[in-house]
Amino acid sequence: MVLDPQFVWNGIVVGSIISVSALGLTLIFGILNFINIAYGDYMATGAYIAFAVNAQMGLPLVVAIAAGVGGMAAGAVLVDKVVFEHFRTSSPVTLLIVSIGVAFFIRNLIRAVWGPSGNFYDVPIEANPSLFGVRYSVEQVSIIIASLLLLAAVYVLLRRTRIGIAMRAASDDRTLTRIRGVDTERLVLYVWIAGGAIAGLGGIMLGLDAQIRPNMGFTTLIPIFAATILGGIGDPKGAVAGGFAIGILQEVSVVVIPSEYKFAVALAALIIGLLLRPDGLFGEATR
Amino acid sequence: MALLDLLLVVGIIAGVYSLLAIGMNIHWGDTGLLNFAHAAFFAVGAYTSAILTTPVLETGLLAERVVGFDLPVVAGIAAGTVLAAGLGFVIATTSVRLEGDYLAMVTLSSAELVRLVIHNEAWLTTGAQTLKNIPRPLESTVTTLPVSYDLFYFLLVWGLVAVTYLLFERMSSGPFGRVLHAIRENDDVALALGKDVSRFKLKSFAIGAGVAGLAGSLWAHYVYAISPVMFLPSLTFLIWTAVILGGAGSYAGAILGAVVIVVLRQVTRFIPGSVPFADQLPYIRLMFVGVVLVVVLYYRPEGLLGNAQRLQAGTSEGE
Amino acid sequence: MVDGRFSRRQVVKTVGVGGIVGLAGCAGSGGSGGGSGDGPIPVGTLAPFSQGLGWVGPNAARGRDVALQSINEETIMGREVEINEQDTETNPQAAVSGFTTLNEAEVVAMLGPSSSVIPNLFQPIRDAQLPTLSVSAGTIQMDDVGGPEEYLWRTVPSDAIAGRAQGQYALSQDFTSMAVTYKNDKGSQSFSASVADYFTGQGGDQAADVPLENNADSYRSEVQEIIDSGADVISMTAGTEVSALFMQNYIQAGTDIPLFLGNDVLTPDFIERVGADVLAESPVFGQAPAPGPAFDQFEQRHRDLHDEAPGTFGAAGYDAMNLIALAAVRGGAADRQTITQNINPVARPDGTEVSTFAEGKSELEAGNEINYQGASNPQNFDQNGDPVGPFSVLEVEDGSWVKLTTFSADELTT
Repeated sequence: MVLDPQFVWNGIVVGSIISVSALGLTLIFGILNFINIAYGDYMATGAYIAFAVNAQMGLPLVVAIAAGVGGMAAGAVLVDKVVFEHFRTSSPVTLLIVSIGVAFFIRNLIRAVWGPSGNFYDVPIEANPSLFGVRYSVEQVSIIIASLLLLAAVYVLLRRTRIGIAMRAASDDRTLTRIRGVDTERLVLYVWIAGGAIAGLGGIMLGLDAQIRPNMGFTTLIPIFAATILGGIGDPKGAVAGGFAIGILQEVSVVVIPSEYKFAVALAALIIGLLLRPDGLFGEATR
Repeated sequence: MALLDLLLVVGIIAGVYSLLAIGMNIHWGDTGLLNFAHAAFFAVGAYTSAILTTPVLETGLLAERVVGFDLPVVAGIAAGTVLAAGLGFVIATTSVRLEGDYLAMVTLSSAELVRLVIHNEAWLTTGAQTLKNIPRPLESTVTTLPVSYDLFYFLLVWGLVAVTYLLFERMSSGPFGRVLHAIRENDDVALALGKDVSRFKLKSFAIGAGVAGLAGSLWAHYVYAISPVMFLPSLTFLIWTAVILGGAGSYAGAILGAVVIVVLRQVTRFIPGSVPFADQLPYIRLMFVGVVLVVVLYYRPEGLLGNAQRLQAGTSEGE
Repeated sequence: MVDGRFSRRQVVKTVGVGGIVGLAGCAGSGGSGGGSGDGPIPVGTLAPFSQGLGWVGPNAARGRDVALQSINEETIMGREVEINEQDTETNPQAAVSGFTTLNEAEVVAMLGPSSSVIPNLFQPIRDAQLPTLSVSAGTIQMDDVGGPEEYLWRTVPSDAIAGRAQGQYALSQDFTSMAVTYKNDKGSQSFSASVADYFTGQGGDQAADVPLENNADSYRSEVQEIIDSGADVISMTAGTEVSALFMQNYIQAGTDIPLFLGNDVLTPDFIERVGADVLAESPVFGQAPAPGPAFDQFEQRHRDLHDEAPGTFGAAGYDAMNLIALAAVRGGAADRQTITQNINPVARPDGTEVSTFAEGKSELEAGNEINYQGASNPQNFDQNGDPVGPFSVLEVEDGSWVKLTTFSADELTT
């Protein structure tokens, strides 16, 4: 079978979403040094806040996106204050288990409030225009542009601003940063705001391209982790590269393997990535 | 009469969960390994035993399974246990050297991969369809006795829980257990003592997976039929909650944690449908599980029966 | 949620611990139940209210409550029905404890679970001798199980019959090459296999077989795979969630290959989700059991009670509740054995046709035999407790499903 370019396009769209999401996860990991299982549910929360504003209150999508992103940034800080802050000195393993509890709570709260089945944003469904035999939608193009803008913004933030440089330093060595006089608690606050906002945006993108479901984030978590780990956990540009690699591989895989094993691509990438290159694509992981 | 039936069924489920928790406890409680593949070991035990003890009888459009044997139930249970241990060994071989939270991700992914295979390889497992007509051990003999089958099975399951508990308690306080505990506290110390750390981790992983496989076989032979939806990652998370609630490192705690979880789930079944938010009840129940997990980790990180000393070395950032 | 508005009462049995002492060793509890006394009659509902098929339970329960409203007005020999609702969580584990909980509460009959857990309950249902009417299990794995000896019926037709309706219509439209796609779960596989089997059996070609993984974020690549296969018709089977996402991707792909939907999504809710205009413009068809004779009045009463149109399996829940109540009235007792023996008699074709509990009750009290004509289908059971009835093919027009043609029960079973 010849490779239909449509699959590659689909992969780029999925890859953009995974990249953005992986970026938020890896930022949080870089500073806080634990795997946050609830991250997927942060994504879903952002998507649902936007859904409530857009489809339930009838406000324009732009307003809804702002509300979802802002709401989730605040939400991430809230969860930190209520839960994670009390576990600051715990081991990464304890924090991981705590985050499972948080994930259970958030996911089922969403189900209790919005019901268990899927929803769509108030965006018309219509036949997509096609260019060179590839069908694309306005939402997809917006997703790709938004993700590129975000990636550029985060790059500038990390390289050019004081806070970003402090973040990078802290992600390399927290104790050292503290000795040099950086207020790590303030850094933690900023990283939750940034990580939460990015999670919310990732969730909204996912909901726009697909469907808004209570477990939408949780089921995307494995590809996101695969991207993060493939890119070297804690390394933002690795996460982005990993995200596109996983997205494209996953969508193109249906040409060679049965589509029911599409998910196995991310699973296998995660396992192989961890076993062969625990330092990631660019080899500058935090541990 | 009927109430007794209910108690027995709940008891059987609690017994199966207790075995799962015992298996998890040797990984996490004794060795400090983060295993998120427990649902897969449970599934492999259940499916191995079911495939070995059921002939290929199904007919019709959905009958795709071509592999089946008519072996005695005891052979199925033994094979289920061994194969689950084997899977544990294989997963561990590739990944025990990884750090704790990375190991969690590899095991979680491996478990999902196993479930995907079970779900899609219908020639072996009947796939998404239910693998049914799984025989109950000694059913014809028990029906001639003046006891109900549920009572018999309850005694069988809890007998096995008791045997496993005694074995594992003994192992945990013996020389093997001491090495595991040393590994849990600090890999390097164990290494310095001249122990082959990886080999001990492998053994621990395989043994715990085997017990989960035993639990799977026992469950399959009780419920007549199994399907992939029984082996979602949420099962693994639930067993984690049980172990942490009971107290990591304590086998009695693991059993207590499992019983508490199962009983709590059953008790909420008696909540009448007229209470406020009755429609949201299934979700509120799971939210509650999340809260319990966090609250226990904060206020009583050693769990109900755990040992606070073990905790200090194992879970705080004192490396 | 809307169904909270109608107060559902449940029986919480409190049995003294002393009551069970000395009972160890007594097997079974068959034939027990609230057959005597003047209290309310306990009836169970065991359905998925959460997890995978969590949408099924609430739909069926709302339909059941429509029947319950008039049953409790009319009463069964002066007694009302009380519902005890248990969640299967779409998981056999929870289903087993839910079932045992209902058995312990001595319910006299049960509105039954979905196909994902029913094979685990075949034997327990027989052991408990608890008449069970499944309101959602279409699986062909149940085709040769059921009937009064096994205490098991279903009020939805087998996928085998539904599949024939879809296959026949496709052939009648001169389609020769079909791509089959389905949610990769038990129920949808069963339905899809029936369609493909009939279609290829009648000389059609199967161009592709594409499972749709649950929880996927898009089916674009799957849609593309189907388009690339060169099929001239697509048969797609899945619940609302997967179907809605597939439909979105199908429409976005701009293809004109006609698409057949499974009967789970032929609901107003689905039109609302996907959009009436786009569904009307696309070559989308679906087949569903031709609504039973009582459907219109059921739908109206459902709207009155719940402020919304019935969802999938709502009518099946309504029919199951009515059949249980009528069986108790005909037998003159509300216990498990009586209901089991009277389900077939109240539905058999040679009685006076009735379509509500009130009509049925007055006919029965006048000493006449009745033939219950349901809302979801006529509810005439074969020897395996499966209803056989006509099927319609529908398309979307002006925001609702409109009938194109109907295949009679005879055309579908011979």
